[in-house]
Amino acid sequence: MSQAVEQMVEQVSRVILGKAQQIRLALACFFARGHLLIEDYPGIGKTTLAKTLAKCMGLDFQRMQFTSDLLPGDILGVSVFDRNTAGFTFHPGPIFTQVFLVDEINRATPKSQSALLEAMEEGQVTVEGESRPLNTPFFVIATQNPLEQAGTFPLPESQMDRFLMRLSLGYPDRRAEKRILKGEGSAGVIADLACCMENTRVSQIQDEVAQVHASDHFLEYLQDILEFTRTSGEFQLGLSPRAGLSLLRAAKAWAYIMGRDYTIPEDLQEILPWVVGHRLRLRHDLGHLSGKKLMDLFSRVRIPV
Amino acid sequence: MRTAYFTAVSKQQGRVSFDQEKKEAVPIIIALVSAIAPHVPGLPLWITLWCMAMWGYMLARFKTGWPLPSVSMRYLLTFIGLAGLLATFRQGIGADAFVGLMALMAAIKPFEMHTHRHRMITLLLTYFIIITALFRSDALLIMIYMIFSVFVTTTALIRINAPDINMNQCRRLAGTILAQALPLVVVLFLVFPRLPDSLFGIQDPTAGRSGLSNTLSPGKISSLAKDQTPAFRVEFGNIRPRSDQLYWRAIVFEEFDGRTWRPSAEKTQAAGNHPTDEAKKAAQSRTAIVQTILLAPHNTHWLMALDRPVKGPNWALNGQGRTLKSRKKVTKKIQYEVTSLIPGDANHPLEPVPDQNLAAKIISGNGALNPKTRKFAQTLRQTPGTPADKVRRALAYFRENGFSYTLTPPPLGTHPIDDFLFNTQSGYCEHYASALAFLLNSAGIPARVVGGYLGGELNPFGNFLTVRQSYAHAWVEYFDGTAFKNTGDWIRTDPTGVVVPNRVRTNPDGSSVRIAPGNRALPFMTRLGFALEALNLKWETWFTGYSAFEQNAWLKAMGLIKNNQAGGPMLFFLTLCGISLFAGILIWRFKKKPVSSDPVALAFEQFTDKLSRAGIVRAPGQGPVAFAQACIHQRPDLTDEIQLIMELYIGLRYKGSGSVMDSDQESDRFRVCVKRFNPSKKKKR
Repeated sequence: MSQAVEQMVEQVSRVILGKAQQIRLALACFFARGHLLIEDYPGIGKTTLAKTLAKCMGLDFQRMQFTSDLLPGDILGVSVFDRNTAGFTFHPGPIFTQVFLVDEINRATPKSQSALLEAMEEGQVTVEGESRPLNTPFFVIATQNPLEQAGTFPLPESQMDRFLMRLSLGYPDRRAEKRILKGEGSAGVIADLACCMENTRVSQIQDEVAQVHASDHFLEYLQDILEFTRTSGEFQLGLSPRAGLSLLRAAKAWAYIMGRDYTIPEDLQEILPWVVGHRLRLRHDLGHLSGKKLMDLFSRVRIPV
Repeated sequence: MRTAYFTAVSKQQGRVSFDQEKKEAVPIIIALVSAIAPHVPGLPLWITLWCMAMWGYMLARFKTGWPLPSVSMRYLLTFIGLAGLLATFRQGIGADAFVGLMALMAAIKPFEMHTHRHRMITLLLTYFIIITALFRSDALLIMIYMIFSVFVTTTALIRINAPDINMNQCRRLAGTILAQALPLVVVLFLVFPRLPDSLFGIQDPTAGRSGLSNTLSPGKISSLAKDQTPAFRVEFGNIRPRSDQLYWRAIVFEEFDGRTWRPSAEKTQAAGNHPTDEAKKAAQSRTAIVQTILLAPHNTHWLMALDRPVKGPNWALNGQGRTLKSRKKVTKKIQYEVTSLIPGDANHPLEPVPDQNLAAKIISGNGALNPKTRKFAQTLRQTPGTPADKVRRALAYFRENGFSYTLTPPPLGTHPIDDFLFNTQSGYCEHYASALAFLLNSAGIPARVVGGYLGGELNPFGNFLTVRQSYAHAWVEYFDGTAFKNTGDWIRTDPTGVVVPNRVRTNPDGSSVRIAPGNRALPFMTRLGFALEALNLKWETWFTGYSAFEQNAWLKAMGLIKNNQAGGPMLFFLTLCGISLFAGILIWRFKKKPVSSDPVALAFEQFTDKLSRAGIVRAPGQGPVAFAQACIHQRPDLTDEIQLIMELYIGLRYKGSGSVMDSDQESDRFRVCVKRFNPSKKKKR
């Protein structure tokens, strides 16, 4: 495992107790230049995770609570008339940051949602005809509450695709919870955290991840998996080529986190449920597609020898 | 560092394999239960409980996580089981003991199903246990159940070999496979050579019971009076006997020592070649009654036939006193055709050659026993008249002296016939028959006791008679020299019928349905029983009736063998050729094709093959590192080799070309390593 990454995981684990695997996945998502959707209940530690990640990597952090009366301008920023200059000056919105936490993304109207998602996809914001590039690196962590459905606008499938991974943190185990109750993971700890890397290093890592080697054999396996989602008849709709690219990016990031400069099938298997879980829907079962169920299905795909 | 790389996730691995074990063990246990179930009525209760306990523990284990019994515990269980088995089957080791042993082993086998190999062995054993249900019965319902069991077992077999398809798909596939096997089953049933002996040569000493025994002395027949199992079933040709003519002849007793009747010494000849021209004529006469008899195994030689058989099957022998005998003991169901003539209907003698010394032999053989009866016989001898008149007078004695019929007669003293005739005056068919025969012999009329069955229950659905063990009966035949214009013949007389005329007209169990048109007022359950029995008989005549003999006839008809050829060896050879050809085609067709001509892929296949022979199977979706971890987890002694091989493999397959110096050289190294790899030996570390 890459030492710098492991150090970071260790740092974050001091705050988010007992969730090393999820922290690694979140990092992989970040290193793959993807965005993260966390589907979980309130109070599990979503915000803390985002804050801690930002702090460890020495990045700016902004948090925004989405509500139903939110307007796109509230996210992107507005131009306001300035009497001194007798012109409009642009007041950037909270999106102009490096780590952007969006709470309860499904509470905002589709108009606001798509403003955000377009910004995520294009890496720039266009306000009043002027394009303004977003910061790099730029990482969105959006959360949504799977329980409360009244008065929400669930993200359509095409929009879900903008998120590289969908994770859920889940409740801590008993031991971790006791440590939380003893105050070990309190907010004060975040302030004490050392910054593990310079903020330029993050962009560097993202470049290195893109350089991770994926051999022909690995690509064959990835193609077999895409093929399986399209032809096995288990799913309503197969994975798109964009989803295939996402899988490759995520697998590369995971290989990087595991300290390798080449991908192996296990990398793909590890990130697979989190990358495709929100992109696929079973043909015969409209319910939630669990990670275990997905792994069972994909274990049918033969790895080329 | 290298070790850490390969052993990182071993904890998770363990949990997954427990789930996997459950997924595979549960269908196997279900298959075992279905295979043992038909044996439960015949197995000792403790073996059934034993099986339930072991399997219950195994199933509960998946909920509670109880440990598997250790090796020593398993040895102990095996030992206890074997000891119990030996204690239970002290008297004789037969098919029951064999099935018991299989059940015991099947009960503890699930404890050691941790490798694929063991699971396969267990399932193959399950198929074997399913076949053994035929020891118990070959009734139609059992056959249908066996097909169901095979289906369940095949589902489990598919389950453990293709873990990635779900249970419904397994069932569908199993159903398809069975349906595809059906034509093959039919062909094999028709052409596979019949074994002349029972399966594996196991002869069960307790197999088959009979209402009759080799000797006749009071007490023998009544013990079976309540046994309602069918002794045999009869279908008639165009002529049916009247309901008071249903005397089924089996044994003739011609020797008497004052207490016990025995058949005389063997005098047999082939029944196919008929002894007399008269008999030949008789067999062709209009009144000849042709019967097809399906005989349950009774472990003796006798073949039942309507009194009096004149033509038996070719393979049968003629026993003394116009009886039919099989060359071998009847230890499995057989079916044969017999022609009989009702003695009264024939217009010529059926057995005109009497044993003239019979009467003298019987009286002299018993010394000074039964003096009172001899004295009574002297008065009978001096009465003028034909033998028939004398018999009538003897029967009158039974009728007029208040004799009674009972299945629980009082014990008889040293002179049993005297005791019965003049003292107790109550008994059942054996008492009456033996007393009358002795009396007639003492009076100078040769007479003998015939053992067999009387009656039969007509099944209105199948138009056949069921004769049960409780219908066992004994009657008398005397030789009347004046019959048939002084040619002489044996005449049947039934003293029991004089005392209880009902016994001749109805069955002892009260079922009066003998030869009578079907009674529509029968209760529903009775009719259902009759219908099931009729269905079963159709099945059994078809299934059991297809013996080596019928097979030969069929093959001759098909032109597969010539007329005077014994089909056996030739057929066996042909079948063997056919099966091996078929298997060869299958193997050729489904041979694992090499994935590619790529040397690395070939070598990797070789590597996984070697490991699978050592019991470690790679799932198709198992990545190289996960596979290496699983291998090391099971075979820590091979850690170094496996790590080296897998690192080379990963290098060749997934590393960038920049990091591998010379891929040809690396691939050669990989091939050499795989070639040297030998997981069959266990190394010490």
